[in-house]
Amino acid sequence: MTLIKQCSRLLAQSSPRNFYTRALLPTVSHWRRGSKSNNSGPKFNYNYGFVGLLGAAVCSVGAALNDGQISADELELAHGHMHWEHKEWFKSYDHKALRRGFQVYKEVCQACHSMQYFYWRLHVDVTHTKEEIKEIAAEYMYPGVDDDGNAIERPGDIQDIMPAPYENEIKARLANNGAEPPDLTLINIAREGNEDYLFSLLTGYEEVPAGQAEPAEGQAYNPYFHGYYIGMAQQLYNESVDYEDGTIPYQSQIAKDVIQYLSWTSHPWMDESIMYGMKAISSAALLTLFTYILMRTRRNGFRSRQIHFTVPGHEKSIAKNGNVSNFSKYKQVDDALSKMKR
Amino acid sequence: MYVLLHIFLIYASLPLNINFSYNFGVILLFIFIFLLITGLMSVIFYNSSLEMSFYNLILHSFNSFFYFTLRVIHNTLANLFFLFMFFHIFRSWFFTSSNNLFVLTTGIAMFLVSCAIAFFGYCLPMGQMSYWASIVIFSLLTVIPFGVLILLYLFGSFSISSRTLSLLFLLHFITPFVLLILFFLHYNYLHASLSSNTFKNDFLDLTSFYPLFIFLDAFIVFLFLTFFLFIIFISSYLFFESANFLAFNTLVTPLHIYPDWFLLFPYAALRSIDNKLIGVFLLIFILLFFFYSPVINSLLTRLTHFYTFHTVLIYLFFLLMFVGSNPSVYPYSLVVIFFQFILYILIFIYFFLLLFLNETF
Repeated sequence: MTLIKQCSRLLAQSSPRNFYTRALLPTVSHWRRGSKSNNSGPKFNYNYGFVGLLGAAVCSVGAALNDGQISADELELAHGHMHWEHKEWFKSYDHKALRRGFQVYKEVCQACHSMQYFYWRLHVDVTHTKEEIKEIAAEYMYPGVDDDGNAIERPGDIQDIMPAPYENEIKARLANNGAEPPDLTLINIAREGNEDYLFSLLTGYEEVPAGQAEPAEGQAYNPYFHGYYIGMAQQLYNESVDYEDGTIPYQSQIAKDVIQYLSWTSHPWMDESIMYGMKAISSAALLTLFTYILMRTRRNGFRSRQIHFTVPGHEKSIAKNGNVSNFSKYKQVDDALSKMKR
Repeated sequence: MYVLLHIFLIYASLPLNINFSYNFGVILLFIFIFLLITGLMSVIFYNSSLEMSFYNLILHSFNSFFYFTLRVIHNTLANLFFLFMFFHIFRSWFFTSSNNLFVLTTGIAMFLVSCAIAFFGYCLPMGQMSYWASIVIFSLLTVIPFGVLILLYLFGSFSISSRTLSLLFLLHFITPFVLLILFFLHYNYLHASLSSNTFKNDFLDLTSFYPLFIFLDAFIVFLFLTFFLFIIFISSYLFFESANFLAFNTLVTPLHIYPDWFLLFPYAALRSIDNKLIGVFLLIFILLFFFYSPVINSLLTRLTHFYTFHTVLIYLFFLLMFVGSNPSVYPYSLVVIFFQFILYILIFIYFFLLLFLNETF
């Protein structure tokens, strides 16, 4: 214990300059030369072989402790990066694409996937008119009660939640080989990679490459899905939907439309928040400018102060010339100082 | 109250040469007040039933633009609160503000309390990640004696239930007021003993709070407000976790459980060692090490003239965040082993320096 204390005392007593010259590691550019020249002090020669040895030792120990085997099954293909116009700042959704996307959802996805957090009425004035949505909602039957208190089936209304294809989770699992189809309302923000991942997944179905196991019955091979074998078979092909507005239904067009629709269902208030945000940000920026000017007017007085020290015996001569500028005051002080030096 | 406001906002004396990094405190105060207000406003929307909590939250936020924005504001502010708190702490390391032990201790207490509040709040929506995060954090209690009994008492059941959610909601409601008290202590101790300045403890030039700093603070707050409004209105989901948009499932464990970004650095310490007891010990150790590092810093400076300890610490902080954010599979497990090596060095430094505590203080 005493030895440690004495050592530390020695370290503490040694001057910082000495200590630095002993302990300072040179920069990388000096490593190649193996020595560092110091003009202000004596020259030192270092041997940095031990650094390399240490690094190699740490790496080899690390490699020995981990068996660095990666099975190809554990990885999935990274999704691509597409350009989505609605993800840019101050841009709104393409409402024609939302209407087409709703058609794709209704004709393709709705057979298996629910939208349990979304109301029919949220479509009004976004994708459809009020009358159109009322007609669409009335196509589905909901459990209800009549005037005598008997359980009946009533047609859907505009304030209902969008219907689920299966009554409960167990039935959904039974119908799909044990894999429950996820709810699609929040699917865009509930997956890493958002729109890009969904687009890669929907258009990325492939035939099984050589060496991979064949998928089980009801499964398909998709390199973008974690584990490769997805319970959903390929749904989107060229011309699998007939668009109302005459857009040519290529596979990529269909995928783009339905993903824009799912992006809107996960963030239905985007257009509103941009509208309010432009007002709020501009007014806050104006207030920032106003307070900046206020702050500068107050701060300049403090920041441009001049502190000068008067010489004893010469205070009065400066005080007499109250009107002279600061520069001449300094000149007087300088003169007084130069006189004192003489 | 009038006198207090006078003392706080007009007559408090401050060094003239402090720079813009001293304004993180006022941003934190502004954020905290807005968190209190938005929290109190969103109380009426919450349902603490285990089954209905997530469903109600999403339905409410799709029902009204007002509640959606309220939720986004509350979440974004909570994240920014931690961001600016870290900036505040790093500033205190650089300008030796934390030599004042009262201010340092109240500051650490505030950080720990706000971590707890953030955890309580994170559990409330009961998404998939909320559920598993609460399971992980609650089960840390099992390392202490009678921990299982305490755990069952807190759960109110054999697992997380509606009673646990009610408890969490209650705690999330009450603890911010503890933070408020701690804030007043922090502020009082600070102005009783003056702020540090960029010349490190030489008080050259003092001025009162009113004409200069109150306008500087107003400018900084409005500047912050502009960027903050940009985040909440233009990229609303910036600070939301994608795994927490799924309803919880007790049968499916997520592939990679991780906390929010501000709790990654103690989480990395917890996860780097197989033993649970030692992991919990390391978690507490790493928190204490980081927040009492000004003491270690001053000791190291006195003993070895090593002046860049806090810079090393900040690099270490980011390394820890990187380690905590990655799953413990092959390429990252090498980093974990490297990190264990660093942890042992840190523990060694810490206890080595403890030997000299009596001499220097």
